[in-house]
Amino acid sequence: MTNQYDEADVVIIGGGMTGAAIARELSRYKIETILLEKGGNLSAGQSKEGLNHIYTGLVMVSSFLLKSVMLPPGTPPTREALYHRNLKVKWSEEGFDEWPQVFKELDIKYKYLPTLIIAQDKKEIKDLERMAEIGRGIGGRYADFKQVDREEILTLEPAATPKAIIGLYAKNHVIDAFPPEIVIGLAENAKQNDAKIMLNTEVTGISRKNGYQIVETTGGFIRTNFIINAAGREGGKIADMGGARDWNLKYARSQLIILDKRTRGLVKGFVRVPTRPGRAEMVERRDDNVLIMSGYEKTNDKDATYIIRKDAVRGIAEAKRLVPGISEKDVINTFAGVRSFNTRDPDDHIVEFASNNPKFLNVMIRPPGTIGAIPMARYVVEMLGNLGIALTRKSDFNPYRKGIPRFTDLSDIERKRLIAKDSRYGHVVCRCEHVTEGEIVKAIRQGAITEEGVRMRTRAGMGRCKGGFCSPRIIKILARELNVSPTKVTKRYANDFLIPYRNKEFLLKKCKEE
Amino acid sequence: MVSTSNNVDLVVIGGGPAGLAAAYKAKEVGLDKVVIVERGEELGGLLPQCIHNGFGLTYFNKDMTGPEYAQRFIEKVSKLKVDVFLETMVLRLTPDRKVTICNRNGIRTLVAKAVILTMGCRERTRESLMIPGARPAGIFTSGTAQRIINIEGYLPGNEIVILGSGDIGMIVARRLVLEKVNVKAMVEILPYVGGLIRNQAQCINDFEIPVLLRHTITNIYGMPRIEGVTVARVNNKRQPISGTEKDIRCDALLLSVGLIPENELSREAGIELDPITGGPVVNERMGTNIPGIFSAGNVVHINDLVDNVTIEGEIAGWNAAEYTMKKRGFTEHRIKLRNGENIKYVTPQYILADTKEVFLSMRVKKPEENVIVQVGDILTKSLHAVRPSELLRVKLSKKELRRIKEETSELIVTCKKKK
Repeated sequence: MTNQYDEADVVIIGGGMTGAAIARELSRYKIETILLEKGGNLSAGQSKEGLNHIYTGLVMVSSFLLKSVMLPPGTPPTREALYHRNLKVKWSEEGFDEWPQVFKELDIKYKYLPTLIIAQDKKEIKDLERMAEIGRGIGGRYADFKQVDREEILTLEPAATPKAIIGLYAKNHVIDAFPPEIVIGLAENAKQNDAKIMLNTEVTGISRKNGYQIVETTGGFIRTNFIINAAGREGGKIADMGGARDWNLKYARSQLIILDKRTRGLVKGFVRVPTRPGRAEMVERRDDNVLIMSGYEKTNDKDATYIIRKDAVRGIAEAKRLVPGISEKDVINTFAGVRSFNTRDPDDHIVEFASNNPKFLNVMIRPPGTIGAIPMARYVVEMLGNLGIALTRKSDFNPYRKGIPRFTDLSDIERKRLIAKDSRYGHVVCRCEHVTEGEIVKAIRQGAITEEGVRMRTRAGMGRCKGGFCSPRIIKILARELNVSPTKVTKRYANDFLIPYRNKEFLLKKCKEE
Repeated sequence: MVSTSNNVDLVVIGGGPAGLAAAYKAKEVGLDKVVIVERGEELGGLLPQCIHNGFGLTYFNKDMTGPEYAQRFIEKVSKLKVDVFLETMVLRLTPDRKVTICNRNGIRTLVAKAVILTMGCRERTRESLMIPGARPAGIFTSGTAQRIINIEGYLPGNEIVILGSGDIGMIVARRLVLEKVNVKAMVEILPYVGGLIRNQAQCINDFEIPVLLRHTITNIYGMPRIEGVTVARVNNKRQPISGTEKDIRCDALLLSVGLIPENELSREAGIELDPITGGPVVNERMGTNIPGIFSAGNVVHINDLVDNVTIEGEIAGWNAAEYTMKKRGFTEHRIKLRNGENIKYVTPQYILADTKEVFLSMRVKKPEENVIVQVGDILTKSLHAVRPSELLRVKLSKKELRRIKEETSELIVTCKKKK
């Protein structure tokens, strides 16, 4: 720990979707904000490894249906009965339509996706009918879907299973955008507007002194008024540092599988089985890849992000049931997301101050978190305002952030122009995703200091060879741009060095030892 | 020397041994504008990082290292004034042979009379095999590790476990031992070592690398950097046997679990691929289903000796030149080579049978001793032992080719145990 000492009005702990959204919102005001991230890059936790789905309407009906089984028998499943005063649903409803504007401001690629829920047997038809009934009962966007027969299903999704009997279809109820890019976009824009972001900064303790709070970190001390706990899976640990709580966190994991880009013709949007407790099989188009999610198991291990082969294999089998063309041969990546829920009210977020620390705000978000992140951030700022923080808007707040040009998405003419300005855009480094040196350098100049940071911003290393070709080159570029030895380049944190030894030095040392 | 016109005779995609051979041969035969497009910093493909010897034994009758072998062809290509574009990526290939390339100078579309695909292969990854466990730093495929060690000059770890006993794994294991890294184990799921017998002798045996046969990795642990793997013995169905697990500490895991021909460009151009080899379906002229587009080397099928890759490249180069100069057309008489008993694949997949000899390359599915390889009813060859990791080369000479009846449309290739 250094002797470095900083001051802020608000410290946000956690550089994921929640923390980044709050940081951007706060940066609209003359409030000194510091965002702390323990990893070497933003979006190092759930916002990278989870589904982070942005959806509304028909897809939200799933939540309603699952909740409806918990109502007292005979209770009609109205919006009020199901989700009275529920922040999760409220913010999701507000947030969904705000995203396109935010994406435009943050220069983030996005696309609306169609939703198709497919029933293949009697049981699934019943589940489907139940979904339709609930959706229609609630009304509004939740009723904005149509029932489709097999012929229509195969017209909408030609590679869907011919065993489909009936389905439910909604046109624009899902938005596809890359969640780490959203986090980075929000945070970069916050930084443009004077918020401070500290990477590789882990919080080790919180104390109070003279009416302020002192945040003790691996990068020094910060004296602040308010603290926001947006630490996701680590939220319990951070909460205890800040004050008392009457909730715990519990977790559930799902295996996620990514298929090679060449399978993108298999699915146009979001395809899933009808909802029933325990069933969440889905196949979704994410940019040019296909994503499969499988399983949903409770776990006590907040770090259960490892691969369980059995889960992955089962996930592929289930996905094949929806889209027969899916094959294990096309898998290029497998990972697992661990979501957290609070134990006091598992069906909602907790956004409240610690009972014994009125300046320590716990923002424990359960899924879906991304959809409602913008309204959530506004609510948090409002809460701070109610406590006396002056909400003076910055007249020069700039909502626009420029992303990194994506070479692979440009036309040849645009590419030529880019290369003429900076020849590094002509040097393709990641051959699977066609990511150029220009983009990688820009990512580093915009804040990436780890291999994952580069990957999240540019997609370099996310392709089928998983860095087999590009990673030695990316390590060299990081070393060059950060002016460090390649032995000091890390994957995600401060000490996970990728190639820790210089071989001749290592050899000499070993010989001397003998 | 860089050509300024976009109309060229031949574009060779990939400047490794196959591409170098194809390019120089096409020049020798008389093509004028021959271009090699190479995405790496230098020619030679993977040869520059293969600093061990064993190359050129059959082609040059010499025992050379990878860089030495590559240099012979790099010099040939230079002397014959082949145009070379380095650090240049092919963005697109169309069926009418327009090749869009990209480098620091910009983007160009070359219009070629013929194209030869020699993009080589990539390594199979941990993720695609869904190997269980954590996903920490310190996991590399062996070829990438080899590049890091031999070209960049770094080491991925201090105590290393290698999964898979393919050739690359064995060679890197030896390299690591020479660099005084502790190679704790080589984990192999099959009951036998995967690569060439010669490598088994010269790497595993000579350097006493501990090999765990019939074992697999059931867990990878340690975050954010790898701390170890759990290995377990497997049963006859290759499933881990519960209770046999043991942990091996390591700070790096290298994978040598297979090579995949790199055919994205081929696929996008509409080239017919063989689902078993992963590479283009070719005839003995190394021609694909698209006239004027040829292919050679590891992109067609995973070879074992670079000398054979060179020969394949030369055949492609020669035929691409012939096609361009239209001195020879192609006959319609095509015979399919079908994979019969214990044959995993055969290349070429078709033969026109109008040349004086054809070399078939094939791999068996299962190892076997005292076998007879049969190609239809035209050739029979006795072999002492066969293994999937050793490529079999069978020559069909003029005598055998003449035995093919007029009405034959397919020849079944089999490898049966002698009775």
